[in-house]
Amino acid sequence: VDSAPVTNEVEVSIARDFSPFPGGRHRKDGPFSGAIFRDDILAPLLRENASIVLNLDGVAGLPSSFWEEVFGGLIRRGYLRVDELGSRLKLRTSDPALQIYIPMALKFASAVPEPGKMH
Amino acid sequence: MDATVAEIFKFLLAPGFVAALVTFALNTRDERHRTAREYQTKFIEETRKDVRDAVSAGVAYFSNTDDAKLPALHATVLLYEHEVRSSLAAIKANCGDDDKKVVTRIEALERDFLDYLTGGEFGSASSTTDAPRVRMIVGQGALLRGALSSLRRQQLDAARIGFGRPALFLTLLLALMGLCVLYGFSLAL
Repeated sequence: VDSAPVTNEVEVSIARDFSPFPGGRHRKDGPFSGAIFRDDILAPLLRENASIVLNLDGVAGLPSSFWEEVFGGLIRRGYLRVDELGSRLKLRTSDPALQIYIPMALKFASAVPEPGKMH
Repeated sequence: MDATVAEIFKFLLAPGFVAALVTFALNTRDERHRTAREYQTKFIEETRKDVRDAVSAGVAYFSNTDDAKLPALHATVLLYEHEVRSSLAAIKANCGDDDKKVVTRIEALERDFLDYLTGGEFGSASSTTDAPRVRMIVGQGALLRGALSSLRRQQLDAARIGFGRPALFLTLLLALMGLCVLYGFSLAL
């Protein structure tokens, strides 16, 4: 993880800082699951920094179970609000084959009722 | 007489030379378009097959109850997910503004298909059957294959219309050349 204290924005590369082959939803599903990435990497960085740039380049793929657990889970657990996506958490990739995961992340986050709005 | 023959040659050879050059350029351009069109058509057909294989792999994964088979099924689904995603990215990159509407539809279907294919408890430590997801994978896969067929048909139709333009231009050019020849003969007589 590259820290940039002046702008208080950090960049996280999933492939470099976590795994090029992420997969699984829950902790019990393996060391590169969505729950581990969300709770052990993203959540602490969101607490300490104004914004995070999440770079997708280099991953073989992002299975939906993993990706939903990360983005749906961020909203479900109150780490982030849906309207903060794009400002506090930005997604980037230069690989056209990975572009599809950006709208998927927004879809997963938007599909979750926020903690304060649940009935 | 020599001067008249020279006049005829001037009126015959000059437009003839221009027509030959223009025909060569148009044929070259048309050949390039034809090759690109054939490549795109074959590529779309291959991607439709990849989607069908991805559907089969997804159905096998979410219907499986044998934990021993899980790693192989998991790997197969990931392989086809990668194939479909990469191929669709390449197809979209080769589409023009005329295809925008169908490309937007393909993108939405791709998003949902990939969501169903590797969503739910995909990648979990033990086998979990998921009958509703199996149905959604099959249905969404069929819709994606249908949208790819629409794109292929639309591109072929556009290519047929496009072929008429150089042909019309060539006809007009030949007509103009004919007029020049007639004018040349009128000068000779």
